[in-house]
Amino acid sequence: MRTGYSYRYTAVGGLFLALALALLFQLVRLQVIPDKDAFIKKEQAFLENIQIIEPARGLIYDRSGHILAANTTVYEVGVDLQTVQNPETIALTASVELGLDYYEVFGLVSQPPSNTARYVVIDNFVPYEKAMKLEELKSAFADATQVQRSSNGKPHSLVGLELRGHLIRSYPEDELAYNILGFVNLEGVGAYGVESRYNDMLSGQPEYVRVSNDPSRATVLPAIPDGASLILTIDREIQAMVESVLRTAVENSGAEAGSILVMQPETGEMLAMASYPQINPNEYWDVLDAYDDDTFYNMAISPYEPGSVFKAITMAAALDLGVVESDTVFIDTGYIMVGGIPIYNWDGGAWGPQTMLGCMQHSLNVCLAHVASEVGAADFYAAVEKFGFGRPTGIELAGEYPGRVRQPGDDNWYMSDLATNSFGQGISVTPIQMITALSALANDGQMVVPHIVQAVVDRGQQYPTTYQVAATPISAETARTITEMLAVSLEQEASVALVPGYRVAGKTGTAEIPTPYGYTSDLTNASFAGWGPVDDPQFLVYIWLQKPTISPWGSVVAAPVFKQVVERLVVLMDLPPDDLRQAMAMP
Amino acid sequence: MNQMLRIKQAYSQTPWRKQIQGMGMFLSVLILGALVAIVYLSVTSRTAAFGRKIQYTQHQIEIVEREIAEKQSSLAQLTSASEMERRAVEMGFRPVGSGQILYLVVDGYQERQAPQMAPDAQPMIVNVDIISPAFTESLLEWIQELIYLPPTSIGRMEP
Repeated sequence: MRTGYSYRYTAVGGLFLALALALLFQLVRLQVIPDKDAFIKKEQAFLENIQIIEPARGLIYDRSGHILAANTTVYEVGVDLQTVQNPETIALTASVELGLDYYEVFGLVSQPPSNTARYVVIDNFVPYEKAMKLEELKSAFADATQVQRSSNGKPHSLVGLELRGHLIRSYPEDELAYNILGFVNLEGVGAYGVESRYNDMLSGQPEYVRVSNDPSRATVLPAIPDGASLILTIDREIQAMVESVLRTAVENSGAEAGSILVMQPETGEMLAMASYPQINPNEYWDVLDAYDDDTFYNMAISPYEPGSVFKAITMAAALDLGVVESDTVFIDTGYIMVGGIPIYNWDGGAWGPQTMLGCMQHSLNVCLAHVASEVGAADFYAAVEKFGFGRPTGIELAGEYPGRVRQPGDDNWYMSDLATNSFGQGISVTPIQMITALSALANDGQMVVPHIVQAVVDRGQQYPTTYQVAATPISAETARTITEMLAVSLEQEASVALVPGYRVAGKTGTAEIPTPYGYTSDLTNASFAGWGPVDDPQFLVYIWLQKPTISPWGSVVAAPVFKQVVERLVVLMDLPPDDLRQAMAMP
Repeated sequence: MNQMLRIKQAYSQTPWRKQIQGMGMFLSVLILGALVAIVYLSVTSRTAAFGRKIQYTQHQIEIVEREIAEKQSSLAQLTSASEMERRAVEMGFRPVGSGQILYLVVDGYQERQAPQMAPDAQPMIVNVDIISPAFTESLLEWIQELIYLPPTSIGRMEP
């Protein structure tokens, strides 16, 4: 080798060595610098992205398998700014098909792509039909051999327009059972009803997975199980019938709101639970306008003063404690002083000698106040507690009110409260509490826990629920006695609640509504509770109409509603008339 | 010395042979490298193609699942209570009153049953005897069992 070239070889060799050392130094430096995590993240972001796999929300069925809550596909419409060819076409299409503002969309789509804006969303929750129309237009433009040019001189094109489908909740029955179901908001979170109560189960468990952008590293995404489905105890046909009757009853009575509940007293299964005013959960944003301070999303689990239907509870407790019997006579003088406060009857009259049956038949406040006084405050409130008042029943619905029972020892309890509470005034209960308590009267003394979920279907297995006895506040004998008393009182009164062919027991209720200044309003809460057939109760119906204007009395506005409900209920429940049923039961 | 040089020259290869050998070696390495590259590219491209197929299939699965949900929702709407009532009225049906029904006793008639969307959950049974004792017992245990086995059991073991 000539010496003239040797320095050049040395220089080139040194250069390569320096480069190698520099590379080695940089490699070592990248391993130890404080920003190494950021580098790793950037690399991973380039190689892969995090994808959330959202399981489909579980469905909700009625007791016969009809779908009450389903899922429907809607689309997010966006534009990939890197591939868009003609913003004018996209803006025009969005304006015509989606009703969006042309200039707003054009402005969004015309912006050059940047690190912060490569994809823009121009609309979301676009229905399936509209999305399919956009797909058709996109395909038509792509397949067209000759395309017209827009005002900017470019050929019309929808390249860059992207549709991304996702599921949202839909309620195919619209308003039906809205108060039981609740709704799911745009964030996918359940509100009210079973949607809220079972939100975690229904929504399932989303999973975050790393998805490689490199197709050679593509892997099968994990199969995420859908959210659990619910089968309710609600019968769709009975629910629809009850809602129809309630709507008509509210309109005809001039009431502000109302609720009707139907329960199977032996199992606590709710067959129907109607509430008015109704909303369509597909348009749940109306919820804010539909309700005020006096009306609630679900009236069936909201508080009110029940009035005389509560007398059935007071009388049942007194009979069970042996304080009175059905033929015990009380001399009604028209008023009674309890705790220094005079108590009068609903008509202000004196009814003279009355048996307990007569007291219930004529709904005498004075008599029931006397009975409660005889029972004594301690035993009366112990019985009220046994019947479950003052605490939630545990029905599987979000937002159940516990009601309020003031008891001896509370700051604001007075002796006169014992008298008023005995006929359902000054005590706050919910219709679901009332129907639960009355289930003891219709079910041989056993009070069942009301439930609305019949089974949960999760990961290919069905988990049925079982009925539970919450308490036995009265004996079977007492239950049969009070049922008989209430059946006879309806018959002797020739009540409009009576149903031809079926023997029913029941009690009306008319309660004054408290205002901040006391019971100053003329408006009332009208109620009726009834069950039947008396010899083997299969249904328990509770009716509440809030502030009826055509008449304040439960016997006038609520009792006929009971009859209407039961007449149709026995058909839907396949319940033959009593004589036929008893004849068929004979061997 | 010359003798040695001549012998060395006689056994040494000609320069062109050396060049051919060198080129042969180079080409061998080149071909081997090309083969490796071809195999690598083939495998990588096939993996990428299958990866794309997986991505496409997953996309299709998502679309099908959404379509199923959509159809399920549409079916529920078409068979909703209000829709069924409307269709029934259109067909001339009207609600029946309780007094208009003729009840008959039908032997074996079953009332409407609760819908069964999936099999009932069964309690998990842990079978502790899945593995045969023949695989777990020691020789000593086997001999002990033979010695202490009751006579009836031995009899049952006979063919």
